[in-house]
Amino acid sequence: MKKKVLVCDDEPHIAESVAYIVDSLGCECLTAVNGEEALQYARDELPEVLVLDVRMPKMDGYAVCAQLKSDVATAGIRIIMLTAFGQRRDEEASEAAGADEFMAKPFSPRRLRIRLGELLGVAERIR
Amino acid sequence: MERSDNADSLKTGKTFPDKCDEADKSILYGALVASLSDMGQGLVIIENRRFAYVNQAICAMTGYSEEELLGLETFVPLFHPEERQRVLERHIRRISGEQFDTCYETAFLHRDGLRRIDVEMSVAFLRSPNRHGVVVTVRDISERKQIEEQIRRKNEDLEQLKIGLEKMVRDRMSELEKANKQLIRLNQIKSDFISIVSHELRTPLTSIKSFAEIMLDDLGKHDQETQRRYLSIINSESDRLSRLISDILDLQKIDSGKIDWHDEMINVVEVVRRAVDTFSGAFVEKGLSLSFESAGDCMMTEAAPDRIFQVVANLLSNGLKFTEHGGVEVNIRLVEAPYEGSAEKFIRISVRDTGTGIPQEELSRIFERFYQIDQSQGRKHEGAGLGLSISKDIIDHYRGRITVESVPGSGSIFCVLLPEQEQPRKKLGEVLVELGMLTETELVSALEKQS
Repeated sequence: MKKKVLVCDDEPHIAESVAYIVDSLGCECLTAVNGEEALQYARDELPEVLVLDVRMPKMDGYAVCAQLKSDVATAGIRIIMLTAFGQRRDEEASEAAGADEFMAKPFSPRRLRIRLGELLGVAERIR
Repeated sequence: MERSDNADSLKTGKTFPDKCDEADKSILYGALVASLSDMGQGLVIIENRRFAYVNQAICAMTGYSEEELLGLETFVPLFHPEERQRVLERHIRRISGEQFDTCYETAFLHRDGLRRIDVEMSVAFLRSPNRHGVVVTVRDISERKQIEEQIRRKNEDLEQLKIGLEKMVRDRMSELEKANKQLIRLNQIKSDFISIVSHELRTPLTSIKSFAEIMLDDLGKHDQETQRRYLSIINSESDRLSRLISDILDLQKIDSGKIDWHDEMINVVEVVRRAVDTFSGAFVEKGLSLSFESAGDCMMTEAAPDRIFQVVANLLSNGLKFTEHGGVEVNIRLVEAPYEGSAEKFIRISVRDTGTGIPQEELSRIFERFYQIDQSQGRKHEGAGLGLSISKDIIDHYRGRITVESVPGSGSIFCVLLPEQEQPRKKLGEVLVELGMLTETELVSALEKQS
């Protein structure tokens, strides 16, 4: 069975590029467009990794991350925070929320693929 | 020897009269009386509640003659009305045997009934077996009092000045505190703005960077359709980025007052029609209607045509973005006094859509910078939420108004009011130049001659 990765970003093009990376690692990609939806899908689907945007309608990424990490059922989901607020304090906030990884936008898909691969335990296929 | 004896006895003041014989005493007495009457201080001797002796100085001080003073039955008229009560009380206390200062300040009333003479009195009691009386010396202290009064007034003035200065300092401090708070607030707004701007700039850049890197890394692995899709994302996100940059520059220019408005008399109907024409294709493409109706062909205002176009285009673009079924109606007419306190005639441009509408609680915020409606479907619409904010700045600049009403689920109506200005009537000279009956140079020289 394919490993599941949940991608949550309200910017459709960014979500599409992350989904491309997930596909390229041979994983199943689920997408959510806001924080509430991400929380719901994460609980229902229990993906291996959640790639999470910070600034989103309804519920921001930090809140989603903190909720998932504080619940035993979902605490095992590895979370990569992606944010266009690329300052030191944003990295600190994502650390405080319990995220496993922080990447500033614009990010390098190549680097995201490597980090995702590591978190998934999938050896990146050498092209 | 005699002299030094005398000098010694003068010092002690005791033995001197005893050493004189009766003739000397009489001469001395005469000299003393003469010097008493000439001395600068008033001197009176009172016996049996009447003056037994008054000197020249007291007469000069009070304006009464020696005879008048000696003839007085009561001393009351001598005292200033404000002092009479106190003098009386003092007298009552004295005859009841109370001890008090033999030296005190009071005031006389000059014989003219007007002038107040402040005096210091010293009282000495004369007690001998056959004579009972008091010797009173009176010193005019009006000048001292006046100086004291002046000092008191000056002190009062100084006190007032001090109070005034303290108030000024306090007011200035509170002004400065207010200004400081305002600066802190503005600084916060500025840093929020920079943080949001950087976020908004990074967002389209992220899509551009991602797809460019993906295409580079996986070069040749995508079919033509996929390549086209990724390139078109890069393309549209680049457009978004450059629109965002010009919006931010617009805002910056408006904020700093550096915008070059290029105002001229424009026909708003034409500008709106041009904007509607520009959008008609996009509406047809989305299967929406776009109608335009005007209550007249010519409605003039003084404004930059590009800026008015920008506002209408922004409203049309929002209408297009948020409408899935139906369409947008644009209407122009003249209105008089559209809101309380407005007297002028206004041009009213309304843009009504049949789109998703705006929730009541968001209506007041949609003109804020970077404000985007929290879409229930979660997808953000393209744009940074600057369009309406810039539109409002532009309309405010022209002393107009921009308002919105909306019913969620059935649509919104945006209204722009611009003050109507009638075309200024052309001067005869300009008309003659236009008709070619006069050259520009001839007109200028004619006007110069006239002035």
